[in-house]
Amino acid sequence: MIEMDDPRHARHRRIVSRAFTPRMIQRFTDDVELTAAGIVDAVADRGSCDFVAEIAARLPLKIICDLMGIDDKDQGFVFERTNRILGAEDPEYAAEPGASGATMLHAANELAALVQELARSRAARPTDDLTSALVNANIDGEKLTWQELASFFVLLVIAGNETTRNAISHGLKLLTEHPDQKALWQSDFERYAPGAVEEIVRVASPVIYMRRSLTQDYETAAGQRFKEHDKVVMVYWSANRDETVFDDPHRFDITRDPNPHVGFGAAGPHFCLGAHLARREITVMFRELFRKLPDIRAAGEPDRLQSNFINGIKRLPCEFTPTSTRTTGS
Amino acid sequence: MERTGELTGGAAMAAEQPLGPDDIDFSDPGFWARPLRDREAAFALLRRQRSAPFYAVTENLGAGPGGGGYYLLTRHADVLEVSRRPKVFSSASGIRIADKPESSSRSSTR
Ligand code: HEM
Repeated sequence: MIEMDDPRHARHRRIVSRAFTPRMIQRFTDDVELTAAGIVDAVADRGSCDFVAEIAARLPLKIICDLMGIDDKDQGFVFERTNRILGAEDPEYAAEPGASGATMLHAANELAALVQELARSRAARPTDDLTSALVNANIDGEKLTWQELASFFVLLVIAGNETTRNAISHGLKLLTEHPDQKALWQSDFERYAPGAVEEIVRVASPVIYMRRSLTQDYETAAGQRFKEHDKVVMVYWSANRDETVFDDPHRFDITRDPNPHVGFGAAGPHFCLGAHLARREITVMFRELFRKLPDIRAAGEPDRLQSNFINGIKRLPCEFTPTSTRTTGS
Repeated sequence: MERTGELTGGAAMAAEQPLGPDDIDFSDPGFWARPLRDREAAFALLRRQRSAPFYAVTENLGAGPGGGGYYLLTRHADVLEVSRRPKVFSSASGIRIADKPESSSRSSTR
């Protein structure tokens, strides 16, 4: 879908957004809270852990898998495959040096096989998950073929998984580097949450760029001429630091207003389908962290993904006062 | 301000020897390994250029019908303009720098 133009794109987006409704997301919202609580509880008495693997990565993956109806036992499999697809340029994930295209394709095929099997079972016996909604005809008789469903799923785990994870990891890093902003957010969580989440996404810009190609010659408003077939790369990471739009763009300011960042893409047909869900996940994660581990902080330099596409963090040590020493007894 | 030791290559970003637009290779993973401050300075520089810089693709990036390269749009206004005009700026050949794997063998517009 992300690699399609209208009318093909519009048809996909229509089918998917009918299933991916606010109601559907709302239904999974309780799950977001429960899942986040479970994730934090699991590390709460340890005092330190790898923030990425044990906290940030868990929530988005579980939510997408739950949404699609993927079994808990297959989530490790999904996690590992998405790492390979997105991090294909990073030597840690590529099967062999220079084989990044093959690595990506192979991992994508494995994910596709998993979801096609799921689709087969949901076509026969629908449940209330997204997969069922997508493979069974909706009110206008539209549905996705299994093939289309498979590529949508691959897109979803890729688009909605690492991106949100990295936003959460960058969030902890930013809040650690800016204790005043952390204190401000903690002083009134609900009041500052919407602004804090937007500012984290702006500064992190988890998706560094998206590329387009020209279907015709074109002169931009700024006066640059492009030719048919030219490729242009929109660097969101840079646009989000444009000093003509953002005052003091390198400052992390959770009260920034307005904050017209393009971290989820700019207005247009491809604007991030999961922006609402992502905002919700980031909010819930930090609410839960601040509630149970209020002094959580990054305890070292992040190990960054080597990629010009995803602004990723592979590992980030974190520290906090364990709950067992803070609460008396119980 | 002793930060030059962290840089790879000879293009140090110390004030007396600023990185020129030609020294910034977006598709070089080494560029993204640089410290945040250097990347911020590099993009600030690119945003001030009159036109978007053109980069030739390196071998593993896969040249599409547009030939071997891409233009880098670094300004907020350019991103808005391109996103708003999907008929002119197509996603069908892929959204990474390299064309999507199957786009050479299959029509991508249905
Ligand atoms: C902080 C987290 C996220 C960021 C930064 C992000 C960013 C983006 C960006 C930049 C685009 C492309 C926009 C364009 O080309 O104009 C996009 C598209 C998309 N995103 Fe997200 N995203 C995030 C989370 C999610 C989540 C949680 C989901 C789903 C569960 C999701 C699903 C999608 C889909 C399906 C598309 C393709 C839409 C289309 O082509 O019509 N994203 N996202």
